[in-house]
Amino acid sequence: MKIEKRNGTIGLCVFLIILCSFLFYQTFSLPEEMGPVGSRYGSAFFPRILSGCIILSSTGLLIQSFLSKKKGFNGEVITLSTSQILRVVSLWSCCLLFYAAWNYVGFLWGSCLFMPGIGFLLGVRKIWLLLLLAALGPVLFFIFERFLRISLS
Amino acid sequence: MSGGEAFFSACLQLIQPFNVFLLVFGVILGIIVGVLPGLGAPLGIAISLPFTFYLNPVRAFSLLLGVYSGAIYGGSISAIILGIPGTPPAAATLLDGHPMFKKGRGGEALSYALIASVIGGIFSTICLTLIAPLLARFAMKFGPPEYFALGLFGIVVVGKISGKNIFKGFISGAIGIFLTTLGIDPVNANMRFTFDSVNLYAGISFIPLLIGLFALPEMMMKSENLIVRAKKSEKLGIKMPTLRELYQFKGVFLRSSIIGTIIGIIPAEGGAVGAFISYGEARRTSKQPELYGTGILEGVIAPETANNATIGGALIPTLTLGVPGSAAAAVLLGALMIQGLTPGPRLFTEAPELMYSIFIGLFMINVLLLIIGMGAIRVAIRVINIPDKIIIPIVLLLCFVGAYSIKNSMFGVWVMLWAGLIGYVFRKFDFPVIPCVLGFVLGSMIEVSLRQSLTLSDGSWLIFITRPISLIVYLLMLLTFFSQPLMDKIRSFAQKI
Repeated sequence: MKIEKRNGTIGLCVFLIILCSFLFYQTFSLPEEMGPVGSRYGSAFFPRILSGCIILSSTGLLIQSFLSKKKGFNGEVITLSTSQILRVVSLWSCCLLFYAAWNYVGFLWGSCLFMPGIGFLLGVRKIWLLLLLAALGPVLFFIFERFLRISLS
Repeated sequence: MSGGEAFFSACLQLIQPFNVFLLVFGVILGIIVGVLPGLGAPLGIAISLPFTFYLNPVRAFSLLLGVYSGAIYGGSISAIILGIPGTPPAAATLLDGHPMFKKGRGGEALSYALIASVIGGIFSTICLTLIAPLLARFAMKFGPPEYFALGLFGIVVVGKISGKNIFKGFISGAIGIFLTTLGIDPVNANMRFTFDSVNLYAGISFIPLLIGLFALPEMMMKSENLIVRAKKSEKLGIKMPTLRELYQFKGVFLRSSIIGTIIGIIPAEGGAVGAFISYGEARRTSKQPELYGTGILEGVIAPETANNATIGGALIPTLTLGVPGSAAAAVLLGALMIQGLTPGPRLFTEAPELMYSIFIGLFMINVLLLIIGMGAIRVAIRVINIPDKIIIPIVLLLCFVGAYSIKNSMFGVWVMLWAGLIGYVFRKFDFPVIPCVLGFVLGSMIEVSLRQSLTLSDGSWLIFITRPISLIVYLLMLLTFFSQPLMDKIRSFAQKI
């Protein structure tokens, strides 16, 4: 799969403009304030400045990207094979699954599955290595729970 | 507690066996983190933070500063041996270090890199010890307009020099600042952007965000191309240079130490910028500049001295003003807050023992680095030989633990996961991450000082330019903003790698 960096940047800018416009609109639902400067410099003030800055910068970047697009292809492309994409997506999904599993089965059992799972995903095939990875979770659990008194449950 | 009492108390604490163990452990851990390409000092410190929760501030900082110094030095080991910088500051060391390794002079390069790191570290520690208390006293005169100017200066500088595109730098910085507006308004205690989620009432935690932005994208990118590195031999023929041999390079040591310390003070990428400027200056002032890049000792000494000198330099604004001088210093700032301390000039009066322990601790760390550095190289080479497919799950697990243990909350892990995805997209499309991190660290200070200033002046914006100190900071900002040739030079050095 090939994505021209410029196109990706354009997409990100559009997304940021829409998101920050929504957040700017949200600032109008913040409560009115009393005081020497009142609502003028209240809770909504700073988020409005920031969302405005992000919108302006994104618009500037968008214009810059369109202008450079007119000049032609600049050679900056992100190239990822299907297997690379699958590996990255799987890695992040495994992290998400571990997060979910932690809530239900706890850190100890979750890590015993997570560690060898990630190792297998990345190409570890030796059983003893997978078992070693599985054992690291309980070791870390023991260190944190017993020595450092930080609960991971 | 008087200054003298605090000094002796700090000394007594630091020489206790457990504290010495923490210093040694921190340095070794830091070297291991630094050796592994892509991890770096900020992540090393972030992962070490959970180990410090039940330690007192002196012991906590002994460990964390050890990790910081060790990581900055450790990056040079993989730069010299593998030709891959372990940390961004080591990218300059690679220019001559790796050619020296290829010529069979790897041991010499590593030993000089170690000595250079120690000299740079000690020089900047002396500067920190002398300058920080003076600056803290001066900073007591700072009010909200000055703090606003400093915070803005930090963001502008980082946004300008990070990455190739200034718009991307500013967007990244603004996003980082915006994330601090989630949760309770620090001035009026109104809820902002919580969308009725209890988890967002306290806002987003810094450490899970940092781990997500740095570590997860790095692991995801490593997983794209699982490189199998050829195993490196531990036998390198390392021999420490004599004092006479070191004396030949006194000019390079001194100039690089000064450059590194000054660059460290400026809120920026710290080590990397200092290392490249120092390398550039060494080449410019050399009688044989054409030899740089072919594998000469000056090409290793200059960047290594500078990048460790940025440590003390970066701590000066971090401790005295609460403005971090580097990403790693930003994490240390987070560590201060976890210990219940507020960075800034009052830290010197509220926690003088901690301040002295930082100054003395850094001296001890540099001495320890010299003693254990050579032995640590052999351990580091073994670590380099561990394949990425084993390193990645271990680092990911430590990231989960780090993100969870800050507040014992799964929300931290949730933040880390989504910050990881955003960080990955940022890196793919060349959006720098450092401005986002610094924006998050400084965002609260910038907002509070801005609104306090406007309240003090009854809404008049003139308050920001009628105060001399803040006016000077704005002029410095404009100078930095418009010094394009210098910025281009720094960037072109970085992009040659």
